[in-house]
Amino acid sequence: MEKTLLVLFRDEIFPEVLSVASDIATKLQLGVKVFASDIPPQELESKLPSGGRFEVIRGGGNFEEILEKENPFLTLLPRPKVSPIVHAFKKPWSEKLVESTDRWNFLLVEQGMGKIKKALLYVDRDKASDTYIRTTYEFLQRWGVEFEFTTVFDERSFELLIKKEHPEQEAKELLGKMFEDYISAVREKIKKALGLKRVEILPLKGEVRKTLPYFAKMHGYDLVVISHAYEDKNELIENSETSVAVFKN
Amino acid sequence: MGEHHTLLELLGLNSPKAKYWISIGLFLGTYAMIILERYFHRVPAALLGGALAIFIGLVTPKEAWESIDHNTMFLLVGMMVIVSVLIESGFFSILSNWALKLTKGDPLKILLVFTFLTAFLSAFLDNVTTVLFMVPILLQMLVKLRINPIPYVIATVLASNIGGTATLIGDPPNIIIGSLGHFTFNDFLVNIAPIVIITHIFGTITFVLYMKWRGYLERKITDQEELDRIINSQRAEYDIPLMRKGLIVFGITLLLFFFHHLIGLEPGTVALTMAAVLLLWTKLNPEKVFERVEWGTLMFFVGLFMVIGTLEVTGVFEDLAHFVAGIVKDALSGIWIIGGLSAIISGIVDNIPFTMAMSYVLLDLAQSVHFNVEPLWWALALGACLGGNLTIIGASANVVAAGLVEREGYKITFMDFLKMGTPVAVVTVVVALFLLWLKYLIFGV
Repeated sequence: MEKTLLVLFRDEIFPEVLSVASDIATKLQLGVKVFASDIPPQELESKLPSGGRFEVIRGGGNFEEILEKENPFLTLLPRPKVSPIVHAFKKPWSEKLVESTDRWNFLLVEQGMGKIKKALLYVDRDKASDTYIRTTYEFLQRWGVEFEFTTVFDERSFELLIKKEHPEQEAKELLGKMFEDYISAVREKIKKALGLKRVEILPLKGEVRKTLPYFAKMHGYDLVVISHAYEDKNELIENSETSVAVFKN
Repeated sequence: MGEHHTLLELLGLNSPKAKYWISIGLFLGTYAMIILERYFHRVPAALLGGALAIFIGLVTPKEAWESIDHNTMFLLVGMMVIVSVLIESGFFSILSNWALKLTKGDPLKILLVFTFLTAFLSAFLDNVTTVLFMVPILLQMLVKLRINPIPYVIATVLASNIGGTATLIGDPPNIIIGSLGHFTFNDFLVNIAPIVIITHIFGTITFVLYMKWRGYLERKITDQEELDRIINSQRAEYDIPLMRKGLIVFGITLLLFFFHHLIGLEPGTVALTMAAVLLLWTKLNPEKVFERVEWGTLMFFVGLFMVIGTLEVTGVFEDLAHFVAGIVKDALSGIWIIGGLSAIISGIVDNIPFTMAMSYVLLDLAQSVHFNVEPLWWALALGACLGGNLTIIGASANVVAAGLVEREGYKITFMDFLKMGTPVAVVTVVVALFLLWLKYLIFGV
C-alpha cells in the first residue's frame, strides 16, 4: 500500500474533505498532501487546520500531473451538493476527473459529510477482482468504518424473457433460483479473495446504478465503495447522494 | 373467385339511407357501452363498434383504416414513450420532492404548489400520467402530515384538467382538435394558453375558498421539527444520466413542436421520431418502456376513429353541421353555444368521443357557413377539457385518481367530487369562454 493521501481542490476548500482525510490519515498512519489548482499555496496553507498532517504541494501542474507525480494510495475530492436536475446538466470537476481515469483510487466526499461512519462495499459476480476486494476490505477495516458487503441482482434483463417463456409461478421460482445462485457466487468470490469461511452479504435487487445509491441514502450509509471496472461507474456516481469511493480493480 | 356480399347487402339494407341510420345506431350503441363502464370496458366497446362497421359492410376495411388519424396516434405513442423514459429516470419524483420541501408542510402552500405544478406538467403531459405521479406523492405526504387527502387530491385532478387545456399535447381532446382542425402547437400557445393561465387563477381561487370554508386548510402538526423530519425523509430513486437524455430529447421535441409548421412536419411525426431516438440513445429495453405506454387508450382511439369515421362516410356529420349552422348564427354566439354544450356533455360522458364527433361537425360546418369557424374550435377545446371537471366521470384523470385513493383506503364519492368540481368547472368554463369571446370581440373574428 502506498503511503500518501492526496487531497485535491480547485478554487474552493471543503472542510469536510480535510476532516475525512485527517481521520483516514490518523487511522492508517499516512501523510496527507493537499493541492488546489486555483488557490496560491500560501493562501491554501493558511486555510488548512493547524496541527494536522497536511502538507501543501507547491508548484503548478494539472491534476493528472500531480496524480502521476505523487502516486497516492487514495485521492480525496470534494463533491458539491447540487439538486439532481442541476446535476444532470452541470457535472462537478471532481466527478469528471474520476470518470476520466481508472488508474487511481478516489474518494469523492459529499459536501456536508464530515464524518463517514457506515459504508457499503459493492462486489459483483463478474467484474470485481480479488485485488479490489482485498484492498477495499483491508482499507475499510483499518479505517474503522462500519461496513457491509453488498451486491445487486439485476433481474430486469431476464425478467421479461423468462415471464414470456414460463408460466407465472414457474417464472417466479426460476428468478428466485437465479437470485440465490447470484448471491451465492458473489459470497464464494469474497470468501476466496479474503480467505474467510463465512461472509455476510446484503443482497439487493434492481438496477445497480439506481438501486445502490437509493438504498445507501435511505438507510443511512455515508459511503458506497465500487470499483473502476463496474461498467456504470459514472452513472452510479452521478446518482449518489452519499460519498463514493472508486478503487482500482 | 366468387363475388363477395356484405351483410347489409345480403339483408337488403345497402341503400345510403339505411346505412345512414345504421351508422347512427352503431355510434349510439358504442357510446352507450362506453358510458356504461360498470358493465363494459370502454376499450373493447370502442373496438367492437369499429370492427362491426367493417363486419356488416358499413365501410370497407380501407375506409376504416384511413379514418384512423395517424397524427393523433403517432403523437400519443411518441409522447407516452418519452414520458415513460422520464418517469423511469425519476424526474417527476424529484419535482414532487422539491415541491414538498418548498411547502414546509403548510396546507395552503401544499395545495398551491401541487396544483400549480400539476397544471404546469399537465400542459406538456397527458393528464392521466400527471395524476398517476402527483397523487401518490400527495397522498403519502398528507397521510404523514395527518391531513385528510381527499380535497387535495380532487384539487390536484381539477388542476390537471385545467392545465391540460393549455397546449396541443396537454389533453387528448386537444390532440384530436389539433390534428383534425390542422392547428399547430403554437396556435394553441397563442390562442388557448393565455386564457388557461388566467382561468387557472380563477379555478385556484374557487377551490381555495371552498377548502377554507370547509376547514380543510388547517395544520394538524404544528411542531416544525417534526414537520422537517417528515419532509426531509423523502428521496426519489432516480437516474441522472437517463434524466439528462430524457430532458434533452423532451426539450428538442418541444422545440420542434414550436417550429413544426416551418419544417413541414406534423407533431405526431416529431414525437414518434424523437421517441425512437430516445430509445436508441438510452439503450433501454423497449419492452420495459412499452409497459408504461397506455395501449388500452391507443386501442380505444383506434376503435373510436373507426366508429366516428363511419358517420363521416355515411354523411351524418354533414347533416349535423347543417343543423348546428342553423343555431350558430355567428362565431361570437357560437363560442358560447359550442363551448357551453361541450362543457356540459364532457362533464357527463367521456370527452374523447364527443370531441372527435364535434370535430367532424366543425369540419363540415366550415363548408356550410360564411364566417370563420376557428373560434368554435377553441371553444370546443375549452369546453371539452374544462367540462371534464364537472363530475367524477367527466375525465379519465378523475377516474384514475379515485382508483388511486381507494388503494390507500380512502374514497372519493360522486358527491365529494361534485361539490368541489362543479363550482370550479362552472367558474373556469365561464371565465375561459368569456375571455375567448372578449378576444374575438376586440380583435375581430
